[in-house]
Amino acid sequence: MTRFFYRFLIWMHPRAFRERFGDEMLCAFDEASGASAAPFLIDGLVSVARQWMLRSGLWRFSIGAAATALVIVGYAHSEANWQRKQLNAQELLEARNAHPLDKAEFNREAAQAVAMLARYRAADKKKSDSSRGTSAARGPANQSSNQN
Amino acid sequence: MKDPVASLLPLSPAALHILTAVAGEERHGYGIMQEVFRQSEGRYKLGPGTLYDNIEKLIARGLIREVARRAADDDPRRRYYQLTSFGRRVLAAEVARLGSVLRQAKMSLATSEPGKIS
Repeated sequence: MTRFFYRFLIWMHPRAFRERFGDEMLCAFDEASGASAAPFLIDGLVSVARQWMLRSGLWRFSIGAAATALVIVGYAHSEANWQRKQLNAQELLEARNAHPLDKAEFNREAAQAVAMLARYRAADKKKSDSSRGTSAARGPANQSSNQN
Repeated sequence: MKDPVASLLPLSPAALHILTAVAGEERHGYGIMQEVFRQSEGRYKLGPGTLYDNIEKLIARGLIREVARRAADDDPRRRYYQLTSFGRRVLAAEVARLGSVLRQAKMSLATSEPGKIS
């Protein structure tokens, strides 16, 4: 039974390898018939995988698949982080809305800012008015000096 | 141009064992497996899949070659392999490299004290 299974494993190898070494592998299996068959079967399975990987260029596919998996995992991780941040922002907004004191404070500070802006504008207007009055007073004197 | 011998070093453990096994005399696959088992004092058991994968590579690199069967009453499925002169040079270079590593390791162990970080 184990010999049949080992022959099947040899048959599973790529044709070129099987035709070159298949008989020898079976010969080695037959000659080691007194030993445990398990290491032979495991070695045969590993050999099938290795030969197909190497010969069919599947190792390139494997590297590509591993790289793609890494990119997908990286993207999923960043997406999860972004969603977590969104949730945090939502929680902060809800927390702020839940406390009317914060709104009152905001309104108070906004009123103070508006009042401060009004004071600045008034001071600015006063300054520009005074500078216009000075230039108007100086105007006729300049004209007379030009006539002379 | 790179040295063809140096470009093959270091050898994998399986390749080193196989080259050592066929260095003394030509052997067939199962004979190589038994010799590797004996050399390693039973620590390294080479399966046919690993053995023939390595044999294929070693033949392609010109380190071993297949030779004609010795006896007429031998199992016709058996094929014998022997070391080439290039394979002998590669094996000698690998043994020298391993000897150097061993010397370094022995010196490091002799000069270092346990638990001391330099």
